[in-house]
Amino acid sequence: MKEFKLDQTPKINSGFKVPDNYFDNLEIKIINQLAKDNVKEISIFGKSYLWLSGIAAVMIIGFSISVLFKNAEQTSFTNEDYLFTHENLNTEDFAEFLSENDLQMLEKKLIK
Amino acid sequence: MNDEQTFVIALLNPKTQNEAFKKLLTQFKKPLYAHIRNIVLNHDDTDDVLQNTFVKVFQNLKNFKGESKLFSWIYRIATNEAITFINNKAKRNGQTNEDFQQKQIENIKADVYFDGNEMQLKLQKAVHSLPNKQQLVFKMKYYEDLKYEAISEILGTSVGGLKASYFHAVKKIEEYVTKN
Repeated sequence: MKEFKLDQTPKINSGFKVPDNYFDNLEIKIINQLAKDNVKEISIFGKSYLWLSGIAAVMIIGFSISVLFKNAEQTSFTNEDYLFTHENLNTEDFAEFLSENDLQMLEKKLIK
Repeated sequence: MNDEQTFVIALLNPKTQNEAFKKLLTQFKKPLYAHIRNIVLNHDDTDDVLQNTFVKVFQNLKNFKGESKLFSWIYRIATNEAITFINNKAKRNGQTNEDFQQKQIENIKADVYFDGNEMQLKLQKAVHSLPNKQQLVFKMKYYEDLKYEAISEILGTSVGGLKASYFHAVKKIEEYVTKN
């Protein structure tokens, strides 16, 4: 039986084949994949919460100013009254006062 | 500053990153494909692993500290991805890594993306009768023409250890082919 010697045999290739145009299409596939991944990372956290807090802040300030003015019209406005009205209020309380419209607008910004 | 350092800086700079990464893709896609294919054996699996590899490379560029060559770092990611893939597939089939690969090779003639002649097929069968480490070293040295120093950086094995592995692999392959 003739002994097989690897270094005395011409180079043997793996025999694996690649589909036509595979390598051309590969780069595009990968770049698209990476672009998709980057977009996903941005929209889930971070910036959308920033929007929310920005809008909420503006609305809270706007609302508390209008409440302030309303109280001033109805009763004789004193410092004690102001403190009583505003001391224990938090964001949930303000949220209660947000109209359905305001809430929908807020939600739209969040999902975007 | 040498070429590699310039390239790494371009890859890390957000302004030049996309252009530099395209260059990296072009440079590495074929050799990495071959390397991964030698491990996972079928084209579709290779495609998956190769894409995952490049995505991992891109995402981890910021962690690349230049302690090894870019080439070795990239090949190491590819190797780990490929081996993990094979291990998972083997596990799902309730087989060892080696048994799984041997099964794949027995069916390789049916693979539409394998067009090896008798000698090529015989060599594949011989290679896959080897233990894991010897297989990998043989594939990288013989099929991929990588130098021992490069293989050493990628696998973390000494050049002496690699030479020994290769020597034993060749002996076993020669016996297998002679007998079959």
